Amino acid sequence: MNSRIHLSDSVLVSMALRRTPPSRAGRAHAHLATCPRCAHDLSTLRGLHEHLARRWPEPSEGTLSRALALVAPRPPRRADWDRFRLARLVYDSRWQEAAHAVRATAATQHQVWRLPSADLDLRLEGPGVGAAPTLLGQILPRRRRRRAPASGTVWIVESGAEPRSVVLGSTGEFSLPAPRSERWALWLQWGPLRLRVVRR
Amino acid sequence: MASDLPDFTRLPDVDILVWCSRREPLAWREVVQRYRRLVYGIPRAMGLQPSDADEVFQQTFSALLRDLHKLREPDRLEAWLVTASRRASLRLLRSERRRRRLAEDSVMDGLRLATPVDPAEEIERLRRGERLLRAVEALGDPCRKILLGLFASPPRPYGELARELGLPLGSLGPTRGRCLQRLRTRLGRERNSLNEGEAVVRRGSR
Repeated sequence: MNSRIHLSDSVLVSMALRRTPPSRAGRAHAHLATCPRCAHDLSTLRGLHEHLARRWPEPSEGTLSRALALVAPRPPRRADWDRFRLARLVYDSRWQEAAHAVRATAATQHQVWRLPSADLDLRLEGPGVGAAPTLLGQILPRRRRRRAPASGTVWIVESGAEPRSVVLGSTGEFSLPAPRSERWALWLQWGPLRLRVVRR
Repeated sequence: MASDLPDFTRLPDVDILVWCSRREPLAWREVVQRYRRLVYGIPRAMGLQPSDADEVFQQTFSALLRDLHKLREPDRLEAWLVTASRRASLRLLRSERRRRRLAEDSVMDGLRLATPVDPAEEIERLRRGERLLRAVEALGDPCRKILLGLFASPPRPYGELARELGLPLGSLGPTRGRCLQRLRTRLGRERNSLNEGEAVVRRGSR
């Protein structure tokens, strides 16, 4: 094989995945011995495959959240509250439980809050084995045609505790440690949307 | 306005750090996401337990934020983070050893940390792999999805990838070829700038 003619992408990929048929492997190896470019390409692709196969340890969600919270916008001042529209509670799983006289075994509460332009889906998940109680949420804009904002923030405010916040990405999903009391408030800012949820 | 923000996943470190210094949460999120495995993997490679690795992670990113304005070579962010994470890990390891020396308790022997054979080699492997992964991620979709799917362990079937990307099966091969070419170009460019960076460091240390 001429060193000026390089190995095709499919040969390089199959070699990186170590799936080259023996009939082609000999010629490919002979080419690699004389072609630094192909040898370098193969080492790159093999390196990528090995790195992905290795499953390196990842920080937990909590660890990531703490690092992300290092750059969080300051929570709105009391004077700004009115700029955040108050959301209306339209569904609470506890109503269902009360209506059917049942109590869910897992401490999970589901609520839907409504604003003219969006719904907010909230799930309060109780402590599990090795897992702290968590407040999970997602903003669901009603007008799907509009592009989802790229950035936003959600703050949780409880009396006697510092406001905590997380960054909202384009999916509008977030996860926070669950509030410690029954009374708490959430402020959400997601692009032009400003939403206030007050749980009393 | 939020919609005026750039797509941080495609920005180089130098530009993202400018946004971080303006306290833009989305830019900061990208830095943390981009380097999370590297910063967390170093203390783990050095034999620290997950709870200690969490501490190193937090310390490293806090230090980055504190020293953002002091970074003389923002294009060498990766090297800065590796050094900071390694130093924080060493501090913890030293205090751990001191604690262990003080505690004569035999229970402590059972908790002895398993130190890998060669942490430096392990860190270098992680660093190389993460550099490759960042280059792939910076290509954006569909290249990112194709290359990550193709080289995953086990690799994802072509049919599945084509369906997910909404591409005809026959066009996946040529698209893969273009993606590999873009990856080559990108890595070549990074290698050149890295070599220049190393040369500057060497000149500066004379």
